[in-house]
Amino acid sequence: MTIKVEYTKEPTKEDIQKFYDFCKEAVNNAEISSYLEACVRCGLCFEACHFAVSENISGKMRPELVPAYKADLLREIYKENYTILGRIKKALGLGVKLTPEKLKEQKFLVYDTCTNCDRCARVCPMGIETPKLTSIVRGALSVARQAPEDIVNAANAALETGSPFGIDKDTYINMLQDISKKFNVEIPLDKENSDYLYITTSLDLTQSPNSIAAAAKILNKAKINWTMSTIAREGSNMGVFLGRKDIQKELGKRILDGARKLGAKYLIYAECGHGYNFLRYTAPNLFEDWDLEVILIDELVYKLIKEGKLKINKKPLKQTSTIHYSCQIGRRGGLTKIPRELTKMISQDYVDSVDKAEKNLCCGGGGGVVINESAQEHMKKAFLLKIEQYDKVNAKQIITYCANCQLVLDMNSKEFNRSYQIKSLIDALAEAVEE
Amino acid sequence: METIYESLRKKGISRRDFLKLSAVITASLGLSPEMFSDVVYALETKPKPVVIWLEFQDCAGCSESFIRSTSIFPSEVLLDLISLEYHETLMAPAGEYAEQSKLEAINKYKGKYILVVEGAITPTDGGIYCTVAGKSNYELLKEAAEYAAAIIAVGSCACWSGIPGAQPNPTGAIPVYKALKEKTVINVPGCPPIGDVIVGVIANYLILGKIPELDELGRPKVFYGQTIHDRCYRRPFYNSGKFAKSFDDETAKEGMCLYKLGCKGPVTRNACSTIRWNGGISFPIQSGHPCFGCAEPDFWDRGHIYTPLSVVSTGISSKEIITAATIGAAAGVAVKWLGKIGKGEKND
Amino acid sequence: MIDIEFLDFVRGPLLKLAILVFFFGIFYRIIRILVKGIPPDRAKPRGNVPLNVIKMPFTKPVYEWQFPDVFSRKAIIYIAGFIFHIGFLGITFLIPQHAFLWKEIIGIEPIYFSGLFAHILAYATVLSLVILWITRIFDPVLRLLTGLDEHLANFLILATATTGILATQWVGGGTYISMLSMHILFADILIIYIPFSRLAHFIDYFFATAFYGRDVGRKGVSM
Repeated sequence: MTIKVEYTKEPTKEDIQKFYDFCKEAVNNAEISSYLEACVRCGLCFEACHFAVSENISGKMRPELVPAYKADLLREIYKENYTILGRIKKALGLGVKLTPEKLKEQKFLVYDTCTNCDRCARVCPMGIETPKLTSIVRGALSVARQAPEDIVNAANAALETGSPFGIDKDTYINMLQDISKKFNVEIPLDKENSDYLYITTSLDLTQSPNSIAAAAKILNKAKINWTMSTIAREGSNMGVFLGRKDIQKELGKRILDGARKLGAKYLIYAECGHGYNFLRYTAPNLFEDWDLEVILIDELVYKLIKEGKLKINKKPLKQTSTIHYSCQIGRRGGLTKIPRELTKMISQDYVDSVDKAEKNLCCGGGGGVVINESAQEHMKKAFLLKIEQYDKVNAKQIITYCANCQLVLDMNSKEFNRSYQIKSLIDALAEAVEE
Repeated sequence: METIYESLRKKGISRRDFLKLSAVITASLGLSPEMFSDVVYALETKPKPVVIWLEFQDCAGCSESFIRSTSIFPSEVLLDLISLEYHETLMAPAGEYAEQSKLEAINKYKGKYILVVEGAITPTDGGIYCTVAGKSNYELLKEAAEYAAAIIAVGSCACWSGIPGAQPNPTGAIPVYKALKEKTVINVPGCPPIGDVIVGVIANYLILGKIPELDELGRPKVFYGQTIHDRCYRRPFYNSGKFAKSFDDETAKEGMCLYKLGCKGPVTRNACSTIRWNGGISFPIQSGHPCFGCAEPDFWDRGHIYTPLSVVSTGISSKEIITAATIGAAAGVAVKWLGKIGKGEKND
Repeated sequence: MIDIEFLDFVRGPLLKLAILVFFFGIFYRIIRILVKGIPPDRAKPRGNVPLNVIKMPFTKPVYEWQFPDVFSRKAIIYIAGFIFHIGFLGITFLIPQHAFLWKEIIGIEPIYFSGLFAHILAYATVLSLVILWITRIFDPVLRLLTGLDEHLANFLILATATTGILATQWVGGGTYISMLSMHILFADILIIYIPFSRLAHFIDYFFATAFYGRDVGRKGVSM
């Protein structure tokens, strides 16, 4: 039985109660409670958040965009349930009063103006991981039927058809055949006893099929025993955007089933941010028997180059190029050095646009923001900071290793009339290893 | 009644020495140099002051200190310079005659004599715990205070009920100012007070004809306006953080600050660090022992003489701290279960 | 009440009560967090988890200084906050009178300084706190985040530090006794207030940075 996510414009009393109960349940562990208690209201996170700063630069000062405030409602709910003084306050009738307006404000704060990029946690002197807190609020809003309609529709499509864009099994097979024909590359499908299972996303299938072809070419060239699966079709996980472990588990199970059926031990994942983070770090904690190793396609290419199975034959990046570190794969995923090394290998004029990968600015469109209608304005404003970042080093070609980043940066680049070329790393690598 | 100048001349003290003495008195009373001629004039023209000295619950230590005053009036001439009409420890007569001469003096010098009270008052149970000649101390005090020109309570027992008033205070001892609520009482506290200070207060009243400036508890500001700490000669050690660690090690021999050994100098108002004792020879801190605040109220019950001023006076043991911490930990666990109560509570 | 009797009260029973309530409160806060359970993690870590858990509480303040864009807009908070913390830690532990009190409570006497060093620490504390408090009142972001808790904490610390400076360096005589009593009174109230307010962040700091360090170790990043 698939879960169905609902959406409504005005939350009812039951919805508000569900919100409250979800929050109350989710804060009951040492990590979240120490994050909630630790905030000392210093306000440094405001200057690290690209949404807050870009709003400021564009002329408006919106103090409520400070990341600490995003978790404040959760903090109040925590205090009134798990501390003695909070309990006394609640008993005296001075507790948290949730109204539809408050829920709408929370939706604005955690869905429209937050991509869970984790930059605020880097500057926080107390080490508070705000994305973990906003994920809880996202989940609470989704059970209260207040998650943004666009994300809800995508999630329901993913739960029913297997893809947030509605690509069902037959369409998937057809699309792969088309790619195989168009790019003249063999793409094994449902091959039993494969070691490696390559998992792609609907975004790649629709926006950048060349990335799939590039990956297939490289894997074939290195003579890897790989396949794709009709069960494990979709790597992106709408449950991560909605902060719901049940949806995450349901969507993630398909990956596990697909891998089991084909006997794969390794998952090669396409360039997709939150999906990689989910499969590598969250899935082992949701599934007791998870024993798959998750490796990003670029990571695998690096390994193959180091083992001598692949060789860089040319440097396809001719202009000044830099790398845009994906938030979810980079500072939240641990892959910062390898993509940079790869980019340097294939670039004729490489510059660093940020001195430390963990300090990079978010593209502004992750966490579901790109498909969220009410977040578009903020996503565009955030690009102002990226312009500043890239123009400072005069970068012309920007390598990304997350398809969502590529889409967002490209979209905004055209919107602001900049001439940046946004390229995907795996594409460039495929070009570089060609004879 | 001959004047003080006359009696001094009679003793063989030259005019020159008299003027020197006047200069010392002017300085000791904290008066400005312009007042020197007023002091000389007063000593030349005023008659010998009449002093009636009553003792109640006391040890006579204040009297002992009084007669060892040196700087203002040398002790050998002291008792000739004032007309001490009644003093149980020092006077010659005894018995009925002594009591009678006291009443005569009170009547003869009505409104002119200085009443000095030493020792605490105990009005409890009709004042039976301290009686002289069958009369209760409370009655004797009231009788003598009625026509006194000035009342001086000497010593911590008279000023704050001192040692008789310390716990459990079985006799219900009270200070003089509480027994004489309508009168102005000059408090000269200390255990004992410095002799020169007692004499100085008497001399001040004598020479200037009025009560010296008093603080909110009736102490003359000129002697009790500053703390020992304000004028202590060991301040350089205090200021630079050098403290004596015990009574007989190198730091003590160096004469370092006694704060760590419990000195209450910073919170004790007295003139010990300036005038000092026995003609300026020494005072407790100079002799190597920390001050324990004998001139402040309740010094005896305050106790903890060797506990530094910044430390919890009653001490705090590790057992108490561990108990408090354990109860805190238990409360932390209890709160976890509090979260379980109220599952399904309605939230509006 | 006579001023010396009030001093006896704040220095004796009230101080003892304050210290006991402080320890009660601190352990309450620590156990309250721990008893909820540390969430387990089965994912294979990329970096060194135990090393990062232990070193993060000591190195996290260094990382926040490495963001020039953040620093340039919040320089007052960085610098004044740093000076304030060093100052108030110095005057709490490293002044002789307080060092003797610590010997009584925890059995160890910290090294102590008097003279110019102590003066600098004390004035730096008061000055930086005033600057931070003013910033907190006028900055729009901080105004949104600040409540009664923070203002009361600032007031108590400022009152304690100011009365301490006034008592030791500016007054004598009977005023010293009253000022010292007020200093100890404010200190007692502050000590009772710490475990039940935001000032207990020094406890939460170690937990939050340890969990953050665990995450940094899992992901294998450098900050």
